[in-house]
Amino acid sequence: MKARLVPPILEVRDLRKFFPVPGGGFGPRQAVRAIDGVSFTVERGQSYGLVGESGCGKSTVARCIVGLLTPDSGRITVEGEALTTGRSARGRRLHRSVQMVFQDPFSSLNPRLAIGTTLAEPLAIAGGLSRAQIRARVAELLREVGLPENAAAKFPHEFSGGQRQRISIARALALRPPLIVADEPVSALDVSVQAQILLLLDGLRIEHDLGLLFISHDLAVVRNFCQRVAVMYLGRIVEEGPVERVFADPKHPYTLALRDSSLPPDPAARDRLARIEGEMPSAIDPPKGCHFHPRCPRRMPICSVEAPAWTPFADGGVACHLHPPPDATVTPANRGT
Amino acid sequence: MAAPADQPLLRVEGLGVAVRRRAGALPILDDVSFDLAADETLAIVGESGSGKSMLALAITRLLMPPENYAVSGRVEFQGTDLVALPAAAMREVRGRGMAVVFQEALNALNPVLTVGRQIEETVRRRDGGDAATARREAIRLLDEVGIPSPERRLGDYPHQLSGGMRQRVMIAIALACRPALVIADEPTTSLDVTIQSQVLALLRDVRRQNGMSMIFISHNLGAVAAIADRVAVLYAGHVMELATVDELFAAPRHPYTAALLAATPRVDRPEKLAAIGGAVPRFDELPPGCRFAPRCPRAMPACSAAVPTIRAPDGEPGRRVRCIAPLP
Repeated sequence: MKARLVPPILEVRDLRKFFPVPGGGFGPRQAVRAIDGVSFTVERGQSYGLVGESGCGKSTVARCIVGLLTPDSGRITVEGEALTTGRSARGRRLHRSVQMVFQDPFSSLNPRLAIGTTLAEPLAIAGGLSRAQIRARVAELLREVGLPENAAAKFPHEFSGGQRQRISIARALALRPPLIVADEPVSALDVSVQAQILLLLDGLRIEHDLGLLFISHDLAVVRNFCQRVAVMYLGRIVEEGPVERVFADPKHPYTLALRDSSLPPDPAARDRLARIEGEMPSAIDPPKGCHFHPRCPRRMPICSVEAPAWTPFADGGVACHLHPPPDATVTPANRGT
Repeated sequence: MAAPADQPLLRVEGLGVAVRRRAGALPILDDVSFDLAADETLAIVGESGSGKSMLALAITRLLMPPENYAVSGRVEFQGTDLVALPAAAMREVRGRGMAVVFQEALNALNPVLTVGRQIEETVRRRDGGDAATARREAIRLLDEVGIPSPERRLGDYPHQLSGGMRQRVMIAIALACRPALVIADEPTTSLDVTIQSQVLALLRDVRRQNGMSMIFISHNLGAVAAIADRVAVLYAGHVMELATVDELFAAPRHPYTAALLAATPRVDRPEKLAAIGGAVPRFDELPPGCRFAPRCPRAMPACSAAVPTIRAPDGEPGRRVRCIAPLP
């Protein structure tokens, strides 16, 4: 790893999380290999997209980072400090530096709490602020997310989906975290409201130099609002790099298929209706070798035998036998960034 | 009951739907008019709260319970007005003339019947015939919608299939009626992008091969651009714009259509997004005049004075725009 003065805001190394499958009976215990060796780095002020289809493990990664799940192995560091779980003071402090915005603004806010109370809660728990200071901070937060000051006295049901998502963002910002994890923050919203929330998040990122881990299935959103992107398939990152390169010149056939399945609002693209075969297999019994090979139009004999190693590029990389690494000992787990 | 050659397959004229409440009727759809030719796909695009799903239910007369809704205007299908049709005759139309594909196939399919049974029932209701013939037809239909080893899938229950496969089964059941019109209501919305693309391609292909017409209801402009011949843009219960798909995306005439396009991120070329302020109005709080006026960057006082009529913009007889000052 290169020597650097400032540690990245988030570093994830070789993260693994398996879920046991209930029932089962005799025989070897089965597990859903939700994430299987995931590594990436988010810099300060950067918006980093983690994309993939449902079941690829992207939300599990998010939940491990914010401490809602405990990974089986791997390392998560935030500003150079290892993220510990549990109730230690240090763990609490680190979790305070990572906040989350959820997909569903209808279930992620407490319906019985006035917005002002919801926003004041993290400030009160963190301590160190007087009641007047907390009130002032709540008003500031509402202003930052574009809500009127009288919103503090109202309850979640009085707000539309887009406004609720603004409240969720205000709550995430309350403790001025350096990193926000947003799990599909706009996929429950209508197009006209989606753009409002995306522009708000982007403005806050720039203004506060926030790191933003943006979990999404929507490649168009990621292309427009992220600087880097990692593409996940069945628990593994298959490609990573700057968004322009990954979308303009995808190296992994899955990235290409995903891009071409995302239809632009343009009738000229209608002939592109993708012809990718099959569906994502179960993560309980993923295909041998490269997980994508049964659906891959460019599969080779080796693809069903051996999992592809990580091939680093000047910036980013890919795990695909079409692009073998110059040095086969490099894996996603030990590659440097 | 075939329509004369000069008549469209479906003609919706001045359709209005209001929900009857104790506090008085709440209008949802108002003055909705469009034609659908044979062998054509018309997309109805709109955000939530636009009334697009209610439009599908009004055309198929599936608003339940019917006494809660006041439907006005005409829905002429193959020359017959469906609004006034007795319930039994309407069932006949739904069984033979038109079929519906819903968003959530898991809710639309019967969970306790096998896939084969559900398709065979539809086939026999239409054609009569014996069980063996119906079974052969079911296998042929499953094959047509791209389900691998269809003989083996006949015995599966809906929950054993993936979301994409269930949607294919829904399409097979729709095809079993050999309808002249398929109404697909957000058929790909709950699917992953790669599967969404597969199902869209399938819908397009089976529509063409069977010479059917389709009403494709969606909020997804990418899907609409890929599959539609013409597009109606619905906002708060009004059709705001009606145009061919190429015209609409190349040069939107209604400010709402333009705003919707400007707010949609593109995967192929990143552009600066422009958000639309505010939110879609609730039906019990509709603004006076043009329903988009409070959010419209070009709104003038006259916009709130009266609901604009929908009309052809100058020099474009084929288009319709509900705006007093359409975009050039």
